[in-house]
Amino acid sequence: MSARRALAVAAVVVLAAAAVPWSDGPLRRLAGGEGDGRDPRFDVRLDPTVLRAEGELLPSGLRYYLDAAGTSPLVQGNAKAAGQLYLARQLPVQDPRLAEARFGYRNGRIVPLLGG
Amino acid sequence: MNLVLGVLALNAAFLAVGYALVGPARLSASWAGVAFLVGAGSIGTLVFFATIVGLRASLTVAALAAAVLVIGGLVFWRRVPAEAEAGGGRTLDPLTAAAFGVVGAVCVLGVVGGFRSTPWLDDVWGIWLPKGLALWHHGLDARLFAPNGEYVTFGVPDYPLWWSVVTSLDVQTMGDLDVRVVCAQLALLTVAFVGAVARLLWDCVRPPVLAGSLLLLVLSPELWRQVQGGVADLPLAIYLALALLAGSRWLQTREGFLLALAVLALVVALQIKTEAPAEVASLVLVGALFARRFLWSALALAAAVPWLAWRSAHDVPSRAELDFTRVERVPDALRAVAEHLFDPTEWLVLVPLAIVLALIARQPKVLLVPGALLAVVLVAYWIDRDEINYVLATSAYRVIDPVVLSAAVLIPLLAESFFQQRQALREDRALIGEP
Repeated sequence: MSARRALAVAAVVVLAAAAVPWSDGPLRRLAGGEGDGRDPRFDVRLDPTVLRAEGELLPSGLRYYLDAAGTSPLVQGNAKAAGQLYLARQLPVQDPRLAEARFGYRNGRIVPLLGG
Repeated sequence: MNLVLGVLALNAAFLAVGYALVGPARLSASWAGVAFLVGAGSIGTLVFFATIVGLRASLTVAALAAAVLVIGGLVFWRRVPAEAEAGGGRTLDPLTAAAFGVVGAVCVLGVVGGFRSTPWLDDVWGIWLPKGLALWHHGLDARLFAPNGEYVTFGVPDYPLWWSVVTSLDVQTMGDLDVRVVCAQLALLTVAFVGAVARLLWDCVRPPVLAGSLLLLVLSPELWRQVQGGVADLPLAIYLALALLAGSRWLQTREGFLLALAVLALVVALQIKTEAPAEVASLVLVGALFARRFLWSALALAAAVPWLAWRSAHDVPSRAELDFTRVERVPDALRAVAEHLFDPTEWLVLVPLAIVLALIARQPKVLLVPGALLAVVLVAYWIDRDEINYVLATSAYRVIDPVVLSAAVLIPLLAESFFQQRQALREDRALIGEP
């Protein structure tokens, strides 16, 4: 067998092994398995749909406050990260009185709060 | 633009700029890995520097940086006669060719997996990418990047921002926020690194050794797990290992391009993570043991100054405290790090093999390279202020990446050295008539 053919055969065998739909071997996992979506896999239940939409609608530079008080540190960390990810055009503040928009973590979703 | 087209468009620009910088003599597909790492590293670095002087990390700024680099490359190579490249044709036996085929196919799958994976490391979508998006929308705004009590600032504010800049450019090119860009970008950098290793060693390492070494690297489960995590430690390791490889080849050839490549890779590494200056300094010092002229590459450390100056001007604290009294942290750190380095389910046998080869090739001094990088990691754990078990559990598996990739690029060099010694020994015996 020529070198060129050996190279091609080896490559095709590896690619074919990964393409077998019913296998869950390392090659298939290497190719991303079933595939993920465009949003992060948060460590906690967190639906960022509203936040993503608000991030595009709200004006750039607007000050916002994200309230996750009373939740676990993990939820607070994930909520903060989600805010900084989806509301990147806006500016997060520590004091709700300085905020022009307010969001809260409620039952696994981040939602706008009245009075923001 | 969708995910694939967006990321590929940006990376095609990285590649084009890289080719302009590596020169017309290297304008071939085999140099794509080197050119890509040079282009991505240079553009990311310039855009990062641009944010330090007040610009935003936008596509416009990236395009300007690219234009400056391309013009600089074209002018340089017009004035400096291009060195003729040695012909790359080497005969492959079918088994070696098949091994290269497997390497290529695994890389293709790794890229596919990168595009289909959401980074599992929360730092990526919680810190690195949000920082990049902020650099795009607000620039290096102290309200977000320096603790101030009024605005919510980012975690680990002392970390440099190359990785944030590059992934932010991916999002901008794509035109939509999709965290998979991070893994896609890291997969492309990783594959480029494999290609760069192959290219830089093609003329000096026999193909079966090179193919086996690359196979060992790309079959390491931890390599692709980290790609799908989007961790910044991997690009740091890639650029440090590239510097090591280019520096090693420069020792053999004294070709100026290779020294320049080593210095550039060090410069880029400095912009990726906060431990990089210590790692770069350790590499330079070890390099100087092999050739004193390597000390000139310490000039690369000047590239850390802009970020350190910005941090200093804005009172950005460092994570590390210079407290050397907590020496009891070191044995725990050493144990955790060694477990990851030698666990065959993570990096196969890359590190132990490099050690064995250095000993049987009678070049133990070479082990100072991964040893120095390991020492930096241990010192970082020693002086870190976080609880030791927590920090080891969350970072030991990835801060060792520079140690592992440096071992990975040393393996083919050491194996080749070993085979050449054996060959010379056989020829000597034949000369004196021994059987």
